[in-house]
Amino acid sequence: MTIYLNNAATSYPKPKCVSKACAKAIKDIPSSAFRGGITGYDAFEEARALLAELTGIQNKDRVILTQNATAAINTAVFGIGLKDGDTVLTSVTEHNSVLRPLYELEKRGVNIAFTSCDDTGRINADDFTSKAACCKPKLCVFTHASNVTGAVNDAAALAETAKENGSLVLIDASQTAGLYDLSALSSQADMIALTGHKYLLGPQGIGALCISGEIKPKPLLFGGTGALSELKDMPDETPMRLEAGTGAEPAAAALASAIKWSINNPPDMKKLNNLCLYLKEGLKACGAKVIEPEGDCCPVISFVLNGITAEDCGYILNEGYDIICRSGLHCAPLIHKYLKYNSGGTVRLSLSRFTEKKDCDEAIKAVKEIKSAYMKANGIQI
Amino acid sequence: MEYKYKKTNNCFNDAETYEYKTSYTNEQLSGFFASLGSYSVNYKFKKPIFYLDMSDKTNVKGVMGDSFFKASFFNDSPNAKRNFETRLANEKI
Repeated sequence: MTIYLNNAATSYPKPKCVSKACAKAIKDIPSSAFRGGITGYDAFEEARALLAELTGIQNKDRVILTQNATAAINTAVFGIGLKDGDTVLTSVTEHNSVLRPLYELEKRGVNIAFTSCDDTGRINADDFTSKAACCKPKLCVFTHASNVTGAVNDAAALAETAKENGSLVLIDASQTAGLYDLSALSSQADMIALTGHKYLLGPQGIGALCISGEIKPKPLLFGGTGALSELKDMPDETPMRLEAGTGAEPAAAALASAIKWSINNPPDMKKLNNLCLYLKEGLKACGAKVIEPEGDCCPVISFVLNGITAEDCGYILNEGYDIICRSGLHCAPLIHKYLKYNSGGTVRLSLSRFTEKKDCDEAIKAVKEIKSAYMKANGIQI
Repeated sequence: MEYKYKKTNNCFNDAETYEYKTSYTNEQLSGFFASLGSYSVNYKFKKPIFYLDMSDKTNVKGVMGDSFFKASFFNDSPNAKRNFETRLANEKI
């Protein structure tokens, strides 16, 4: 039986209502046929309203539905009009969804400054404060939680520091949406990017940029909006200004369904944290070097084993034990040299609310066997 | 031998990894793999896994009972993939 411990990439399983909502949206007459109004069900409107509530955004029309968090981040960083000589402050813990857009900006003359992190992947707040004061960035963009170690940052405090220095703030909440309360962040952050397919339990192919401030990003895509068709320019009003083209209605319906399900079935964070602790202790007992952030942490566990590469260990777990996990750099290439155990990548086990203790037991047993096999192969007494 | 292959994801820049599918289990191909380099099988795992390290740094691994395996070719051996595939294509079981 397959054990799925790759929820930080994409959550699995989903509540049953998610696939039902998706299928229904495909079977039903598309809502675009009705061009708005109050009589027809509008999956996009419902998804925006639910995401606005989730992120504490007052106006649901400031929730821009995107293909994923990457598209949301691109919409933000390329849309706010950064110029040659401006500075963006970010962190070494970022996913490539943040880093690569910033590297592209760098080619266009924007300076990129990096804040360091501690050896568990949490952004160094003192360094952030110092760099924000020194660089006077136009934009600060940082992750709410590391996708490698799960360490949750004090995003409200970092955002406050950024605002004190006159910066716009973009928070990547891909790892925390669906797990942590984001509603307070919108009072500090100008924009929150998130994705639907991780802990929000929605499908792949939908994310959002939630804009709380007055800023009006320029569109990256130009095209039909289903309204104001005689205009040559994209309309001024959001969300249509930033949502050119036909949207992913089945994905929006499925995401809305997932969020509603989650409102009625909130994650038991205490249970999830205890399960993570149990798994960490079990992994350490069999010789794994586990990265253990203190305080708030997503259900993400990164570890390495001496004598075996993360890639090989991940491969054996996946193929030899049917334990689906991720190994390597996790699309966050800069964080690894700062971590307590830097071996050019980690094995990452990421749990969800559906993970059971027996799944953790199987993972611990497998890691123990892998460790044992490698020690024997290397002639080490066990 | 006929085979299909597809490039797979790899975090690092120094190698390219491909998954190969054949009509044979890796157990049936053990003689072929053993002829290519340093070959070993680890039976300690729930599903036994084989490893093959070739002199050009190519490494191959797979579950013995599966009919697919992964091969990683390092960029500093530009002909490694072609050489491996030639030998795979010429193999007769």
